[in-house]
Amino acid sequence: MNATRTATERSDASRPAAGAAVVTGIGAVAPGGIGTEEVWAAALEGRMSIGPLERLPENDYPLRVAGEVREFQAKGRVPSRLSVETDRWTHLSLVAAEMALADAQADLDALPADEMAVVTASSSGGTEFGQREIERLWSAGPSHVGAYQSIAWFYAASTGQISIRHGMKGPCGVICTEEAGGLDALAQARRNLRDGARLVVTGGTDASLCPYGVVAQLSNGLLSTEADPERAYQPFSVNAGGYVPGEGGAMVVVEDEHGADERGAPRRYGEIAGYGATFDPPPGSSRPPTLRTAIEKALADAAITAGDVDVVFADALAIPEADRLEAEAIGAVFGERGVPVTAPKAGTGRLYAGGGALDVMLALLSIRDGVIPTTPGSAELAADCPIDLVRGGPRERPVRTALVLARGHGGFNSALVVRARR
Amino acid sequence: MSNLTLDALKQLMRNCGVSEETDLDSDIRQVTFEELDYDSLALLQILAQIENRFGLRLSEDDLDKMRTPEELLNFVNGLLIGA
Amino acid sequence: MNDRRVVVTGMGVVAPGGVGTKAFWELLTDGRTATRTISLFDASGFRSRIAAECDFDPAHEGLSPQEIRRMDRAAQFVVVCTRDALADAGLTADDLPAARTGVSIGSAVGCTTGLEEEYVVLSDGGRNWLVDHEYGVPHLYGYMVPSTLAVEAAWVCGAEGPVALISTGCTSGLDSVAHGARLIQEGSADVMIAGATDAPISPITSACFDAIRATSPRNDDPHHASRPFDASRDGFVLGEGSAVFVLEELSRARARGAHIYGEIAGFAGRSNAYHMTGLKPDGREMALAIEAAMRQAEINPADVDYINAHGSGTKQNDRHETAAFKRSIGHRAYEVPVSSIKSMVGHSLGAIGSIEIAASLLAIEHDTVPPTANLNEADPECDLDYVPRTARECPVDTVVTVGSGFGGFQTAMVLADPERRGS
Repeated sequence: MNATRTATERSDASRPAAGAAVVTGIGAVAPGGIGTEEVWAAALEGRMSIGPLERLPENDYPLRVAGEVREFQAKGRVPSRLSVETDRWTHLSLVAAEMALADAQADLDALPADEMAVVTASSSGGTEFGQREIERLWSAGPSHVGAYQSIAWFYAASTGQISIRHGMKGPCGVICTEEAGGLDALAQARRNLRDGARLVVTGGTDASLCPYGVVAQLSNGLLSTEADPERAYQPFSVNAGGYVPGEGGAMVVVEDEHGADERGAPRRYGEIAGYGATFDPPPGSSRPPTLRTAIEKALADAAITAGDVDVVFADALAIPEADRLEAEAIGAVFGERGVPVTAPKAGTGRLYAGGGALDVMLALLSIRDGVIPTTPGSAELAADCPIDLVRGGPRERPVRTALVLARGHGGFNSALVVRARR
Repeated sequence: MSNLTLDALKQLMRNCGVSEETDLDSDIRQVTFEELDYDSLALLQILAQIENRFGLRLSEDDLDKMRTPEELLNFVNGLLIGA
Repeated sequence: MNDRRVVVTGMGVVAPGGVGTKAFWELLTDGRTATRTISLFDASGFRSRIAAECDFDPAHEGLSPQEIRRMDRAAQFVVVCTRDALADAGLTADDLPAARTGVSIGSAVGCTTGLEEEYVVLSDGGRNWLVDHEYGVPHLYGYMVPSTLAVEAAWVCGAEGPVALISTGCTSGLDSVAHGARLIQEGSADVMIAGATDAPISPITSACFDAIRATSPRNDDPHHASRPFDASRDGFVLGEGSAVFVLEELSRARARGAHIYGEIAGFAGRSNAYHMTGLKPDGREMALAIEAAMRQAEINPADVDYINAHGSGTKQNDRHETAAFKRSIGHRAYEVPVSSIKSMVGHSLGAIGSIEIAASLLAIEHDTVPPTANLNEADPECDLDYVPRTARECPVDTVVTVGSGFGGFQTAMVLADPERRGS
């Protein structure tokens, strides 16, 4: 409302240090619900939102279950003209972004357009839209590829459409680091704020449960082929046999705290307080994986010690070796069973670019409500995963600081600290 | 008989979605596509579908002559009669 | 911002017209074009049958049979460029401080080419929506996620710092290098392998640009089809390629006596927030990006020696960008040479931003401005000095390079001889 100096003016003068990057609005569309509170309620219930994969016609694919947002259709939620020129992945992000902006009560007309930006993560872009178009090309000919393929399938589509829809003219970005993307996008949003942006819509979604998407995912050899949803995705347990993919994600509004105060933003879910990103050494290297370093960098960036962290939201790949390495990294920093760890994604599936963003949302709501959501599942923990896994129901305790972990296929390790801002 | 009807054109438009402010069942013949909220991409999409259906080749320069449904029908059907 | 400055100490280029930096620069300074009839696939049913292709033999470039099998063409490009960039910088992977070395690669379409090839097999030529799940190659997932391209580059150099794939459409190649520079500036890394790659010359990508009539249909004259700023231009020519740079913090580069191509002195992005493909003729947001980049670089319009344009050769782009130059640097726009190398190497989507950074750095290195090929008669609305057809020798210390792309993204970067600013 009272726009002070523009980014132009701010970067000309010697600016005061940027304030904290605070989350002022959240929107989520994920297995378990459409809307933040629905998704949160499902997480607190420990609800199993993974189910038989309905999106595909009858098939004999080894993947039998997935985390779908079955109730979500673009009709009625996304303007008709926009829905035709975008993939489901973008529909999900448009709706989540709209929810986040409404939650933040951001009067976009009152804010300088050049100081608002969008940064999303995507893992596979407009997968289903792309499969339909490529099918038309090969079955009917090149002239049957539509005018929207050029804008619907590429990885920047969601960022572009959100920016247009909400009139955001600042520095927009798209980061693709598979499951780590959601955290990397939030870190980039924080950078944008430091560089003079006033408000950034950020986060990620993914939707790749079309046949070609599923078949491509199956080729990574990491998917669970278990047909019983209750047993399909059991990270850190003796039954860990791969992960279950899902669709959906979350978008958040992040603002410089001073700007949020100025415009009277009603909510402060928390601060993006720290971030660290590393990459594992190449296959065959004798050097160790670097998740631990990412965690340490995030803590250092937040100027906190391990003892300050109240909960860790784990990456939870549910591949035994990966679980062991993650438990080892957490243990090295926090001590064996030294911090509560949780993986609500065992109830929703792994959402790729949506996963990290959703975990950050859950972490912020843990802070708000003083309760850590449970990890669905009850199988015995693997002996080489000596972690304090929150299970059998939510754990009520004050949460001030949460650490979120995400590892992207190929070696990406990202760690993000969110903290209460009072 | 090779002919593009208004109803067929409306279906092609529906395939591109319908703006919440647009009522395709009203008399749209002389309303511009822009007012009906069909942008350049939608028009290219509609043109491509017409080309595929009737075996025509339309130039994007012809878009200047097809600013309303009526102009489009006249132009396309003119080509079809001549074809 | 603090005092950490970022310089380019090595580059590797795979571009149409020749593999390697030397061949690339020779093409540009000769004013030759590398656009031709598409040979990478049978384009006979397509509206635009022209592309700027790389004559690239992966085995000849040192890739192993396993690498060739596993890697999409875009990955092959970026791996070769990464190796070349390191060698050019006088570094081996072992020389790099792993924990303080990161990677930032840009790509617009990722591994689409490989993804399409596999799709044809698994769908039985597009007959089956429910594609086969048994005959897919084991690395099919690697094609599905563009992040693979950053992974492959990271594996070449053993980077253990921050690694990312930036995918902002046609500004990816500028944004990825800007991201790399930003990480060094903020202290997250001391070395960044930054660049971009795209190998989009495949049926689905060609078809999608055919559908919106964005590419030139000048099929009977492919060598002259990419005609930025020319009155008879009729679309861009799809290209492919890669450029990768070694970015280092300046004091580190100086301490080891590295050859420095130039400094990444400023960069900024803005968005039109108008339309996914359409551009308003006023060029406002590109102008804002240019101004912001220049402010960060602490330069005035008078300091700009060359503008390396986006110059894709579409009717709307070249006017949009001309307006942006005038808007941002005023009358100086009429004095500064402006050129588009897309006239010679086509538009490789996400890669071209990095390839244009390479051209800009070489312009600084050699005090030579590459020309805009095929510019015979300028569009009256494009009335700047676009260096028609012939390269021009002149002092070049400071270059502004810009990009514009689907989604409405506009990016500008200032590259400068670091000696110019004193230190």
